[in-house]
Amino acid sequence: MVEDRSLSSRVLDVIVHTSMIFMLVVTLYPVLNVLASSLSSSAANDAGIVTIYPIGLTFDNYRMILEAGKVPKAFVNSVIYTVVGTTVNLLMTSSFAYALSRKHLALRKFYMTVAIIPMYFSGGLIPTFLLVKNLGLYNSMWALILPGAISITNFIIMRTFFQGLPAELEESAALDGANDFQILVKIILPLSKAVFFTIGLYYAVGHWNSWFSAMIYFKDSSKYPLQMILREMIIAANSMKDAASSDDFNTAADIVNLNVKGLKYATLFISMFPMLMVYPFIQKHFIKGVMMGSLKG
Amino acid sequence: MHRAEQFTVKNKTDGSLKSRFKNLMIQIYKTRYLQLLALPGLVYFIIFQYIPMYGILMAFQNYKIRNGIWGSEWVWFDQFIKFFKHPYFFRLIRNTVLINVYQIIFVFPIPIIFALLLNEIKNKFYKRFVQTVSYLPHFISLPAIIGMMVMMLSPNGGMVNNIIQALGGEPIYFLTEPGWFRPLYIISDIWTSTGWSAIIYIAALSNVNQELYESATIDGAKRWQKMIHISVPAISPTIIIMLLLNIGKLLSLGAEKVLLLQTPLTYETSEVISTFVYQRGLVYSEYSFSTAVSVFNSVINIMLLYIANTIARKLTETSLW
Amino acid sequence: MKKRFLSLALAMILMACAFAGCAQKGQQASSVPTAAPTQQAGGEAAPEDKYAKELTITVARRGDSRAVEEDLFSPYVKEKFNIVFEITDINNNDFVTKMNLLLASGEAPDINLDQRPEFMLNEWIQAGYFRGYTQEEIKNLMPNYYAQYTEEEWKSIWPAISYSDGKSYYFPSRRANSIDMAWLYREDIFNKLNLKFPTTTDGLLEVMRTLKKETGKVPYVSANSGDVLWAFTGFLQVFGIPELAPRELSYVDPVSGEFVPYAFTTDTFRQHVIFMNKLYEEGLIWQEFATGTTDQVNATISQGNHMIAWSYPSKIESELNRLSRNENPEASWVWAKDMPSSNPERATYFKANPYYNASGVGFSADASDEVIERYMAFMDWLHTDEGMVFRTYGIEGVTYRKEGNNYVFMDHMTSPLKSEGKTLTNYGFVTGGRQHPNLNEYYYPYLTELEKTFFNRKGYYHFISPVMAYTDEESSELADITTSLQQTAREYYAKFIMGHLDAEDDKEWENYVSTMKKLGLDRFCEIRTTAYERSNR
Repeated sequence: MVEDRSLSSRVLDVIVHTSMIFMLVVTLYPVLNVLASSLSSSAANDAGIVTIYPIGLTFDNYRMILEAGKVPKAFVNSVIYTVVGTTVNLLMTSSFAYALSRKHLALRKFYMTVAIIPMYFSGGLIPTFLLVKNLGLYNSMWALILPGAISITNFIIMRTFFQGLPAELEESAALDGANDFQILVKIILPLSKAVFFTIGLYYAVGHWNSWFSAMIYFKDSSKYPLQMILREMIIAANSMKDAASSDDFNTAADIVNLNVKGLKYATLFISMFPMLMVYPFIQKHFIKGVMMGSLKG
Repeated sequence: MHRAEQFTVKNKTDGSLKSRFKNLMIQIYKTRYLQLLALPGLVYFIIFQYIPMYGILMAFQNYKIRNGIWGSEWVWFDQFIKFFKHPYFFRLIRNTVLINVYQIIFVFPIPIIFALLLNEIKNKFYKRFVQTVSYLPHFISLPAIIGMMVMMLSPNGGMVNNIIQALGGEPIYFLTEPGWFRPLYIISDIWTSTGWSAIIYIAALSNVNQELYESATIDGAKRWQKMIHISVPAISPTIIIMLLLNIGKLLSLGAEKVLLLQTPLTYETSEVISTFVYQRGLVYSEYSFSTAVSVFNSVINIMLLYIANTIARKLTETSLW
Repeated sequence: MKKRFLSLALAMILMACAFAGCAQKGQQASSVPTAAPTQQAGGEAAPEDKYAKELTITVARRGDSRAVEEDLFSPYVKEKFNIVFEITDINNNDFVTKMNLLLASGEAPDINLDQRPEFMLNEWIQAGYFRGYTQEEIKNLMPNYYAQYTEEEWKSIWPAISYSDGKSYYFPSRRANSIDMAWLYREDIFNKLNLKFPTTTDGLLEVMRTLKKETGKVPYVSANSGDVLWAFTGFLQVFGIPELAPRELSYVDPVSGEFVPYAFTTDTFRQHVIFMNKLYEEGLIWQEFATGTTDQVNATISQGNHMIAWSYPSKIESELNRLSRNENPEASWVWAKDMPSSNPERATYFKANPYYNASGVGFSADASDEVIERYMAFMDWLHTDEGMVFRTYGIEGVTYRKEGNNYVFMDHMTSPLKSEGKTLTNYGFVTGGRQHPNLNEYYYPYLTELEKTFFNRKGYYHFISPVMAYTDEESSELADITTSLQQTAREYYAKFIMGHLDAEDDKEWENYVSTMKKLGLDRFCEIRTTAYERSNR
């Protein structure tokens, strides 16, 4: 292959590498800061001197978390909700998106209208809550998964992808006598790995980061996902007036215990860690070089 | 023969309702597998999106939880008027829209450029490493990352001011300057969302036909030419869709980050619609008022989206509908 | 074209169905408050018979989720009262949201452990969600609970906690600390520099200047980026505005008896602001008071700043000493036996708490009579000596031991002297109720000293929160105005103190007041005054 050795190519290289390094530094800093704080002594954390490496190295925070019992259970909860939720999401979204990407679909405009309107008009918290309760989903995992089964943004992205697949493939299969369903399974799906992994990742992260639904729909705090626990800790740290004004020694004690910066950051790091691990695995599925592209000609 | 044509019904009808209906039924049957595929989605939308939609009526009422929707008093447009008449109404709209416009101008293109540049990296490990690290800030919970930012901006010993002083300047107390609020907001957005938003463009780029690049090389195209003439058009449908989706959110801006960056000295530029509603909600749960504001936002957003979508459809081949 | 018409028509039909179909779902029957449960039989039945039936009681608790390692609470309660508690933990910030949803959907818990007026109580009472009781009824139903306050004390408590129908819908227990805040200072530095804690504003200025000059550090560090009005509440008090003014907004001057409907536009407030500005200009208070996070405050203190504080003596060990000792291991904070005042001839102010806690127990109207009766038995027991020991210290031999007349937490437990360790929550405790007096006697002996130092002292006054009852329309109107007023007050407060605006300049102060008036200040004062007069005829 002929390599481009021109000046413009070298300039491009400089630009690329400078930007990448800048990006690395700027995004690694907060991560290292979180990790370092979680491994630093509480005196160092209080003094605010920790930057990107631990000062007064200690594993106490992680030890306390693993012993204390709230975090491991919440972690497992989060994993379950994420896996189940994402599966449901992908099934629902892709089927709908594929159907609507086919221009010959009857009632296509109707379906699109149905899908777009809720992006703007929504009944709000109370009617949704009442509905979920009336369906018997209160205090169940499904209250977190079903109401958000299809994200309209993700649906649109998937539909765009499906629409971008070249029509020739479909047509030749249709001429060979395949019906819509066979086309979907034999031709479309194998070519859609990238979008499935991308949207799957979007949904998964959405589940992993969510806490609001858990807060309103769960009665037992033992079902709380990790983000809820994290949020409690971070908020507790900020609502000092509340903590101190509690007359009651017992209540105040609970809050003081949580208000340790190192503990907070250790929990934060634990919540970030899975995502660190996940992407490298997914990336290899964004395969290049298959007959794809939405260019004509 | 194009596929779609196969299914277009020849206009042999007399236009009557009965024959149109019959045609519809035939088409539905012809696309029956697709209909089946679309069914779960449809059911989902009806149950979870349309049934609760009656909540919008709250905007026209003086909703009280104890009375429910059907028992609450109807005040029609009073809640909207309350919002419009508020002395800060224009300030809120202006701040919300400006931040969103800045986001589209300054934040939106960055992930695209990042994805294009990343695409130029040949070393797989390096590429994967940069990409993974780049989206990590998205996972650091917002209060923590803004807390870091606030610390860095401190006029006493914050990293940024240390650099400024080292270069001979005076420390700037960023958080108290109304003029700095929007730039800080945008910067924090770029910081936390670039890597994450780039994922979709990277995925789109990975789908581009390699042969196109190869034939362009043979034709003597330079790298940056390939980038502009092949990569960009290849992902332009994605870009346009994402742009449209962003325009459709012009009046919506979440309160969380604003509240974290906001200080009493920057209300002039930092009070947005969502923080305004949030502050009121702390004193008194006003479901009607916040629903009315929501409806107002949605109406404007939809109008903007409609305009943008029409333009997109006319100028390009991509649009939302 | 035809297709579009069809699809639109179908969409509209669909939506109409949705609207109609949910007509039933939208209905939310509001429960009518049922009558108070029948009086308990006068103790003829043996305890075993009384509690023969196991009852499940649902309880809402405001607090973070609990990591229960070993549940000692449930078996005890089951054995003694045959109750099984189902506890829902609701986060501090989300309490109102979640309670509203629970109440609206009929999932209301039987007992709400954090019932308080700030949390939409009026709304909830009017909706009939909770049971109310008269003073007489409570005396009969829960005699031990009733007995924690004297009749004299009840005279001031009942008007404050009851609703316009004469009944109360929440029942707070007795506060453990009547005075829990004071001015604190670094004794080691004060001794080294031969300083005495000041009693006047001039004295404060002098002392702070000396501190700054001799140590080079900032004498007073505090911040509140959420609501800057809370940043200097101690100094508010110096000028005769209550410490809780940022929340209560109105107050009654204890010396003159005058009702002040809005604290943040008065001349007194102006004096306070001018003083704070002077402190700011001389670098005597922390520059970042309006933007600082807790982490930043901690870091600043850990660098040796902060030598005077308005805070809780109980935090001396756990927080102040801990942070200050990062810079100087000799650091030692103590509380001051005097309070500074801008006009000691007229009055010096200190902060005293009401007899009762901020939050109390609420009883759901939907709960069955027997559940309420059983819970009341439990709650009443919590106010006996045995009950107080249980809810404060836990189980003997496991979480506490007795040393003579004192109760002491075991070594693995956290205590007022030790912030590391297990808490009763880890053992499953969720109770409410009253803290046993011995805790203060044994662990916080200075609390009694505080009381002795400030109560009944000549020239020293404390504020009593005014009782105000609003109608529905007034509440709604207030909500509109209050948010705007407060946001503006915060903006100008920060600007005046930081010198962006000059509070001593009449024109600029007038400008502030007239901006507030444009946002509805006069109407606010009107409503508040009417409400106050209505409740205090």
